[in-house]
Amino acid sequence: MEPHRIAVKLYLENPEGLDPEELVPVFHRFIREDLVGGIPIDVARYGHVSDGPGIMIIGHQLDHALDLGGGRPGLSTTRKRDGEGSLAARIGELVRATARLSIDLEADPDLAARARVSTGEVLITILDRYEAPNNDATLLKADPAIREVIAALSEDGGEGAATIERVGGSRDPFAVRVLLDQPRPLIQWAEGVGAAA
Amino acid sequence: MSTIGWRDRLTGQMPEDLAEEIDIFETQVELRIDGRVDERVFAETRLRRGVYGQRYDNGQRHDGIEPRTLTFPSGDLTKGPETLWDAPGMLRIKVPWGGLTPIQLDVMAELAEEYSDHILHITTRQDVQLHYVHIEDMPTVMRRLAAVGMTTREACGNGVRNLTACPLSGVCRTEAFDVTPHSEALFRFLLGHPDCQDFGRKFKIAFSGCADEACGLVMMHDLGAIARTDIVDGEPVHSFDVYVGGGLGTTPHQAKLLAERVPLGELLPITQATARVFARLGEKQNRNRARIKFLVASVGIEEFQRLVREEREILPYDPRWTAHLEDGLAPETPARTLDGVGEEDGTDPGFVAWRDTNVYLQRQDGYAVVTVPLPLGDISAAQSRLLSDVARRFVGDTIRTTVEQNIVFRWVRLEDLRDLYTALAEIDMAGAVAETIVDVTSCPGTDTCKLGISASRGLAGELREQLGAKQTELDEAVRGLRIKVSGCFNSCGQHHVADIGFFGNSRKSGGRVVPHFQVVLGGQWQNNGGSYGLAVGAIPSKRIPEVVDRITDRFVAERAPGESFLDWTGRTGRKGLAAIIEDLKTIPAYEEEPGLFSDWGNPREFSIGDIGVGECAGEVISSTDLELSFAESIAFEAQVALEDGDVAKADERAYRAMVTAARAIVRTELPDVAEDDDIIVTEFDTRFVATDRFRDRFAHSKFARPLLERHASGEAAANEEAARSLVEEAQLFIDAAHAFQIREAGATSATQ
Repeated sequence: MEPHRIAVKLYLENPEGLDPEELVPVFHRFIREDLVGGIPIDVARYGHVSDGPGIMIIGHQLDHALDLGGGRPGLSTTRKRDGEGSLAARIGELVRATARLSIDLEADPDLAARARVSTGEVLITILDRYEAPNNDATLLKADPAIREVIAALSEDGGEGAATIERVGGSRDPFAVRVLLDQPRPLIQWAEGVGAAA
Repeated sequence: MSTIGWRDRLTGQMPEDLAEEIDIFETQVELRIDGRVDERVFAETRLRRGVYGQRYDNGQRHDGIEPRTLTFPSGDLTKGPETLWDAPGMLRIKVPWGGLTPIQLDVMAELAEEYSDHILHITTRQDVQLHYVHIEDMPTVMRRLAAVGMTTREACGNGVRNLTACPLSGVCRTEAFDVTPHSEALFRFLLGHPDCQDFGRKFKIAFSGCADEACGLVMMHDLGAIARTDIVDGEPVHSFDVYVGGGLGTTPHQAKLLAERVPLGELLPITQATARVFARLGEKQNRNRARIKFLVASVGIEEFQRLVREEREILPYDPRWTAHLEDGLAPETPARTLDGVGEEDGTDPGFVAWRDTNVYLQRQDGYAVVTVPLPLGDISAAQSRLLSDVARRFVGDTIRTTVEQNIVFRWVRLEDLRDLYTALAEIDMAGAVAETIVDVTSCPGTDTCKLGISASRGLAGELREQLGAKQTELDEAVRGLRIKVSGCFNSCGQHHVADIGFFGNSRKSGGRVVPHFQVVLGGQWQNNGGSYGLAVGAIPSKRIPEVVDRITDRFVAERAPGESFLDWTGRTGRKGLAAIIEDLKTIPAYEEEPGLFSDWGNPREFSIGDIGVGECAGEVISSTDLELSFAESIAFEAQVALEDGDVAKADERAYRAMVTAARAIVRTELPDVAEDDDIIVTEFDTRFVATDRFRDRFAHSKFARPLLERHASGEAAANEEAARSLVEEAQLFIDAAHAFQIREAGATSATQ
């Protein structure tokens, strides 16, 4: 399985403290200051749409977003093309990108520490219904890669408790919710500590 | 992998003609990457398949301080003039007469997730648009759409765009009759029709079920049909009044009556005749004067009527003109039959408010149409799936999009209204705003459009929020007003027919540029968009909410009992209206009010440096060029088949490529040549080979011979060597066709 379109989402700890619209000027500044990877193109505002992509940085290879999907705001990164390496490596790269974005937002002076990102839960989505329909067979195929990612994100190398749960129905894209018992700090996720090369 | 996978998986599920179209487009994509198709030809090819450019696709973006270059991996490769290959673009999906099914909604949601930005955007012409789609993904997206009966063909470019119709058709209390089957028949008839391939500009068609309501907004369309029923000898007789030459843009025109009481069986041929006249006499070089409204205005409606009548008389008969009258679209039926319970009373204020604004009682007892309002025309992929589930539960396949960028459910049982409200409220889609001042319509504007000047969506969103917060306090006369916003003078937001309309422009002040909106008041929504509003002055964008407050306050204060907004604006006059907002025009120094120098929803300091070259007009490429381009695509497929060792396919594709090229040549003299290989080859031989016109100076008739011989024998190449030879000859034949075209053009210009 070599899907190109994969998304990783980390959830906000305090979504009520942050108006999604506040991210519009911040994201524009991030583009101006070259703080996001790939080739960012523009900021898209969909805060008015329920269960939608929220506020996005649209890029050529990657989209970043304060994603309102599932009614739970979080920060997401979606790779749309040019992905390389194993599935675990591709997911790991997105975790790093999302963690970096999270750290930048947590530290952003305009947001005054109101954005706080949880490391206890990760949503991994494969946006390719041909390669990865949302069923148990796909879960079986993706499981080793997901466990590899969990190992990299966990203090105990994935030896401890972690929950992998497939979410959504057959019409939804394949998605798994990963609950981590002993996550490494966000900074280590951003630096790729423990990740496979 | 998924691209090939989807193609294989969907084979047999797509209509054959659409599947072939998409194959050709995919080949064109490959040829363009190889530099074997000219960028202008490719641009028109993709536009005619609904593949549009987007803002920043010239690789330039102003970051608020300075212009920045977007360095895409494919470098200078383009998909059209000043349109970089890698820059994501928009795909417009046609939704004829707005008709949608739950499965179509599901598939579009999948595509939005997998290839776009998770958003389906409903346009002011009932289409659906996906944004930020990469060109390489387009064929797969098209195939997945085709498999559920949807097409993007001719959704952009110089052709017949989506055909719109009143979303109440068939259930309206005031319509003459249901226009849906006629809309569908005309849509199918014109899709890819040879007579519609040589326009100088786009051509928009609308259907209305009655003359007095807004209905299909016929008066602002290139061509429109308004249903009428007359009583003749005591019997009802259905017909259409056909209008032509309407349009918005910088020089809005009201449509003129082309023909009255057109019998149902005459609607398709009269439209075809109109298309032919437009293709023949419409402006081709100056795209700013190329819409049919300019042709009608320049020759006069009486002469235009005469031209159409004359053309109609010589049209070769086509059985499709009347086939739908016998065997057309079946009338819609409710998914749930009445069980006699009747409507349940509701006291919940949310439900009552929603019922007041979002529910329209059908002419069929016991049923209603329910509007599902979409903010700015947007719905997320996840919401779309939930909405399609709600549709399956309550109304089945009777969903329609509207020109006010909403969705309607038809055939809702009155006894289901409360449950439907609850189901919609659970997915946050039960806002009580339909057909109110809160439900602001907007084109994409600077968010994604290359031509946008001001942030129409930003403004629309702001107005929606501000007005929504005080909706219940608004005077009743104000609550029902319509606001429509366009990002520029091209009027995609249809501001001309709004009570309060705006279109984007800009003004310079102190060396900086300030985003503005021109205020347009008193457009008529009723009578099919029966008159256009008055422009009363350009105001800085950030002050537009203040404009709305002032205008509506003054209207409430000054209106006579029962006086409409339209009448009040007419009575007050342009001068009086301008005076109400005059002081808002003043622009202070930047230091005093820097916020005025940026636009709604966009904190970057305003710049018009991002405006690109629009593609609305398409590329003016002759139909011969396009057909020869298609022939090249087929020849390319022949080469691929040969490489794959598929001799039979290589032979068939090579032959087909030559017939396609020959047809292109024949059609320069015989536009109606039948889709019959015998006729095409005979006409080609008689007109061009036997007369030596296709004769090359050095090769003589050599290039034509393989086609003539292969056709006469009817025998496929017996082996790989013979197939290879035919494939090479097919390419030479196409080259010769291009050369012929150039020679003929030279001969023509020499005689002029």
